[in-house]
Amino acid sequence: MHKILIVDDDRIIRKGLIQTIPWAKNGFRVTGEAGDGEEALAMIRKDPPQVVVSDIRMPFMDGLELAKHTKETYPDIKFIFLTGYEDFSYAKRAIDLQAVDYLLKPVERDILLEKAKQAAADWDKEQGSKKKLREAKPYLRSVLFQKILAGQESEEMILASAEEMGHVPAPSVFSRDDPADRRLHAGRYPSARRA
Amino acid sequence: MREKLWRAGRRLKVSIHRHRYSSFRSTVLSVYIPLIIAFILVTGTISYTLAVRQVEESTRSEAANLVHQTRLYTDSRFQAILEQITALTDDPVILQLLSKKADEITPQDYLAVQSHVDTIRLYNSSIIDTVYIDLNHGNFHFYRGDDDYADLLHAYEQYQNTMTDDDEDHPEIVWKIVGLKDGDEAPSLQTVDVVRRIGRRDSEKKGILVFRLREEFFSGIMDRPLLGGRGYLAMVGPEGSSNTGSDVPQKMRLDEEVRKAIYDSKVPDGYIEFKSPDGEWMVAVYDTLATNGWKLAAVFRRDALLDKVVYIKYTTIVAILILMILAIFVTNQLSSRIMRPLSDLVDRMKKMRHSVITAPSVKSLPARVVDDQPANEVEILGHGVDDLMGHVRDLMAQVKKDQELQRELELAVVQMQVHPHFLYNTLFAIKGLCDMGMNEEASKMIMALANFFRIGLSHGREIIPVSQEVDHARNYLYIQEMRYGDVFAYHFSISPDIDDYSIIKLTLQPLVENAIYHGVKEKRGKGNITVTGWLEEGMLHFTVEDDGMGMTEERLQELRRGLAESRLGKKHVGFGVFSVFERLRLHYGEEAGLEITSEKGKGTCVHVMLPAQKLGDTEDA
Repeated sequence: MHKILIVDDDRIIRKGLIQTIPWAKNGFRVTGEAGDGEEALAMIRKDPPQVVVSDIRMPFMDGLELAKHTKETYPDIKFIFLTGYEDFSYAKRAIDLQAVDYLLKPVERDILLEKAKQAAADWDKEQGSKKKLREAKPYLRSVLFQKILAGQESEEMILASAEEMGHVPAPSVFSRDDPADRRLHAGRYPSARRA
Repeated sequence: MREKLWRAGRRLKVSIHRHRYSSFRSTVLSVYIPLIIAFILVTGTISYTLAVRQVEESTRSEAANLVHQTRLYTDSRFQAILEQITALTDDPVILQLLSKKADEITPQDYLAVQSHVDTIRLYNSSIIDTVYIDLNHGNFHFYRGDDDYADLLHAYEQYQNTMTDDDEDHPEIVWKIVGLKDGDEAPSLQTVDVVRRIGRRDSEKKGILVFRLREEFFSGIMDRPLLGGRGYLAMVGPEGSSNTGSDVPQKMRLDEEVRKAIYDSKVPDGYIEFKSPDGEWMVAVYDTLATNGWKLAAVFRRDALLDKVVYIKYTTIVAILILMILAIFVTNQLSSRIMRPLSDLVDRMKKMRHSVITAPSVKSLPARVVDDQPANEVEILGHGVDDLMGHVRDLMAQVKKDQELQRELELAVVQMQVHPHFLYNTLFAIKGLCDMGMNEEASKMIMALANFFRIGLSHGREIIPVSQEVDHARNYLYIQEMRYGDVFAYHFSISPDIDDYSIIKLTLQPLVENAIYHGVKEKRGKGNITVTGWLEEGMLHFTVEDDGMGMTEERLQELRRGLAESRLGKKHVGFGVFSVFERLRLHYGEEAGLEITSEKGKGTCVHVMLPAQKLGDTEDA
């Protein structure tokens, strides 16, 4: 079951979106409805949904602001924007925020449902791969150490794997007697330099 | 000191110059009047000179005429004398006597001669005074006359001597002037002796014959008063001239030089001008006697002519003066008349400059400097035209601005009438209601929308009844409340007696729109929007009040300033309110008003007032 939040200051639209789309049949539970961005943010924090369907032009905090603030804490939440404004600046900002979609009102119910389902599916996929990664992490780490100890793989490959797992290798792992060599190596791995 | 004088002179010159050219009229006058005066003077002088010359001419010719007539008469008389003399000299008795010796002369001879002479004297008594005959140096002499013989004898002996001298130059007949010798001057003619030699020159036997003419004859001729006594006739002979004639003053007599000039003149008739002893110019008009070659002259002072022309001179001067005065007067009047249109124009221009500057619509424009220095008409007109051009330019700029404003307002009105965003948002809302199966609400919303647009269009009329304007706002609020009812509620409080009054449409709705979007929607919780309307002292009042977010003091002032100075507000709020205000002003003038009050966090109130007019009071398309 996926959670979805509906945000629009026009209550007819809000009510319409909630009532006329068969969310439950499609695996969605509507966690709530908000009339503005601030209200919506509070609701998101209380009970984070997977998908947010939001108008852009709203009092107190508009849809894009809402998305930006949400992404700080919950980067995975998918946003679908609905608006009556054919405004390219809005579209661009929406793209920058990695919105799932940007739909013009009035939106066809089927289409919105599809978009929502697609968003949920994306979310699932992301969650799945993340989970897998998390579970496999200790194993992968031991494999990596083995590789290091074995010295079978090239440095680059080892460093890449490490980075995949979210590790930032310290240069001292690859220390050699010759300081010049160290410097040389350090130069090849920008992430190492950062550290 | 010199510098002061020079400066004073310059100042005088400048002020004269200024004064003279300060006015067109005085320029005209100062040019034309001297011109006219000059012309009058020239004309007067010319005509005076011509008249004088003409008078001179006519006087001279008058004198010449007189002289000529007198000469003719004298000639005819002298001719008669000559005939008599000749007749006598040819008398056989005389001839006989010539050849006789003294002792041969008989009393019969005397008697014969006497009878002849008496006959001559009888028939020429008016002119012949005495007759004297002397033959052969006194052998025979005969005298007949009134005067005493003894006085004349000496003179006759003189003749004898001169006449009978053996000289070829001596003519047969000699005319001698007989007159009183006045000191050293030439003899003044009293009368004339005509002396005829008898016998041939070269013969031994000769004599003379003398006719003495009567004084009365000459005085009769000369005694004609000439030119009212300013002149006289004179007979001019080789040795003297007559100065007879009524009391010829000493200073007017011909002196020897003049006499000679007249006598010697080769011109048979003409005139000479000469200066008298005391400096007066004299004129002598003369003619020549055919019989003896003497001249007859009319002598008169030259300025005797002028006496005749004195009255011409004075008349001319008086006429000139009168004409000059008339000219000045008439020129003045004429120039006034001619200048009148120009002066009128100048006055109008002056008035216009002042009135244009103080016109209310122009007051806001930068003030123009009014130059009040006295200038002549052309300069005034020039300034006036410049000013007007400046004003025209300013006004045109203003008109352009106004037109742009007008266009923007019209655009705004059209937008407000059509209200595209509101239209499709409402249609989507209606769709939403239908989708949710709320047909009742959908139906009502459709009605509200339809009415909203119907009133908004109002068949293109600008003026609608207050009841309709209120309905327009009501419909709008109904629709919006359906969508945003969480956020606000609304109330209408319209006094029923204003329903039939007239108002410009689209007055309330924009204010309500602001109350929603900038008022209650911006504030948390459910707000209130109230619309009131009432009639007070001939003015309609409406308020749209909300308890929403309000605005800051700065924003409020900015808005008020923007309204006052006809400038657009930067935010959307500004434009909606601004357009309502401008349209009220455009239609109702200064009487209409719009006031905003607001407090941040508390709410806003917009108060509109306009003159109360019933529908039909003012016809509107």
